[in-house]
Amino acid sequence: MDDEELAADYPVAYRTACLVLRDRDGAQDAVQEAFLRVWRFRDAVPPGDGRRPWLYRVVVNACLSRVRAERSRTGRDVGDAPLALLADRGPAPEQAAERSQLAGDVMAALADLPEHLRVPLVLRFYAGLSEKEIAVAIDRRPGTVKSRLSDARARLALDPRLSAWVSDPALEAAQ
Amino acid sequence: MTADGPTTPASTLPTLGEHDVRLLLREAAASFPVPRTGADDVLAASRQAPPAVPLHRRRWAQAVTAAAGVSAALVLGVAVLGGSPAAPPAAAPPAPPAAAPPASPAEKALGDAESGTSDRQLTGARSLAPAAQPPDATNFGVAKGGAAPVAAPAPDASLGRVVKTGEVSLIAEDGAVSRTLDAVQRAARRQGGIVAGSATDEAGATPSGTITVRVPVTTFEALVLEVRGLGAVRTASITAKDVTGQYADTEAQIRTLTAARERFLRILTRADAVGEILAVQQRVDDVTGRIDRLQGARKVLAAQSDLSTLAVTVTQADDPAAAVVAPGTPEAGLSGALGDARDGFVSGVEGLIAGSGRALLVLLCLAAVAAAARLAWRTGRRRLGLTRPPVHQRR
Repeated sequence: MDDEELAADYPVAYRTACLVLRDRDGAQDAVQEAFLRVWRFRDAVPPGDGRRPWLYRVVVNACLSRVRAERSRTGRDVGDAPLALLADRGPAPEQAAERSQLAGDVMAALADLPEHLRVPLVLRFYAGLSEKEIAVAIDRRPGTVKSRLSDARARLALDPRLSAWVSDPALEAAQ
Repeated sequence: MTADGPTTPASTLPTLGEHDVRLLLREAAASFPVPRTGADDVLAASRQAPPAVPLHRRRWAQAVTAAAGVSAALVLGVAVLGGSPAAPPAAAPPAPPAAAPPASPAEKALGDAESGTSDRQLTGARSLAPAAQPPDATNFGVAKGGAAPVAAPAPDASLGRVVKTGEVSLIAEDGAVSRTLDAVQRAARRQGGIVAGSATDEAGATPSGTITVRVPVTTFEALVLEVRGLGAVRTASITAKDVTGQYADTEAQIRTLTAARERFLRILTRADAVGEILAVQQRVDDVTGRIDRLQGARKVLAAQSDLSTLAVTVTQADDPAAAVVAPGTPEAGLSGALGDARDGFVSGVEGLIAGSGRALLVLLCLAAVAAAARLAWRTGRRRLGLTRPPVHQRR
């Protein structure tokens, strides 16, 4: 694993940690800690396709360590405090506000998901890992990963903030 | 829909499509701008971090550590169970107890405290009680062994130890049984002895009585002569058993073992590793137990040889002489068997207690090795980031 690969992985890993922890500072610390660990033990990193799940395994463990530490310290989860979302510079102000509102709704919905559902959901649909790779990252069987992904999507569908995105197969079949 | 009403199979529950979830998460992630120098900060920090240990060196270190742990456990196990010192080369090996010549009379006369007492304070070892001693046994002139020197001098043959016992049966005049028994008692006291026991049967037409006295061995013959003059002698028997060699052997063994224990204690002060300390301490405890047993045996021999025993039976004429069993002589029949059974039980318990210490030590060492290996394994996994989330997070 070289510097270029580390630099290329950093943005996605950082945002993955943000979605898991829902806290920018905590995510930055966790990712830095994880990347340092990966760098120090890069000889143990599997080559080729095995690199990504191994990397995200370290990132996930670093995030969960912070969650446990925060919970034991304050009695509440990391990221329970209101998010300070920065406006994106690109689009127009009204689009930025809409995106911020949507992002806020998604983050709030993610906050209601338990960690064992939130982590595979983010790894699958944001970091782009396959179910097999997620199984390696969280040290579970692929079948368990599949089940958790399905549960996570079903729970998000029940969140009223995301009701506009919900698809009802029964309704579609009736139509 | 069926006649019973609408049914909703699991596959038709409301859900979020995969494409929608991906879109939503991307929107949420975009609200977290990536720190411009985030990757650079990580790379800079990695350069300051200590260099990573190559995998092959880590594996080699792990293999060497595991081999060292197993070897140490084996060495310790052999040292404890084999009973022979197997200390690592770094420490001075404890010398086995060597046979030394018996001590001189001058050393016997040393007025130090009982070596067993002072040494028990050092090692905390306790020995079981020695063999039963005769009643009222006192150490007449028995020298108390002190801290033994490294080399023991040759024995003095002029100081022999003899266990003398005698049985005399007297016929007293009518009505004189009690007077004769009193006369025997006075004679014993004049010779510097004591009365070990007496019994009389003065009722009936044929009174009789027995008395057992113990006098210093040097005055035993004089007592026997005096007793023989107190009445008509029906029977008399005197036995003498020379226990000089046995006593000298016991003394020599005590001195040899005491010297060995001193050496072990000096080695113990220099031992550093836990394994060495345990092995040497075990040797010290073993030697101390043997010393205690030998000292007990020496006490018994001393008591038996310092005071001789004379049993006197006094009867009137026409009364068959009663058999006198002098205390101090070996008991026969059921009493002897019970005594042997008691001694055997005590010996068995001694053996069990001695063996349990070694077994417990081996178990403790194995538990320590297992705990260290488990800790090293978990630490290694944690450093590689391979720890599993806690149980409450798993479903």
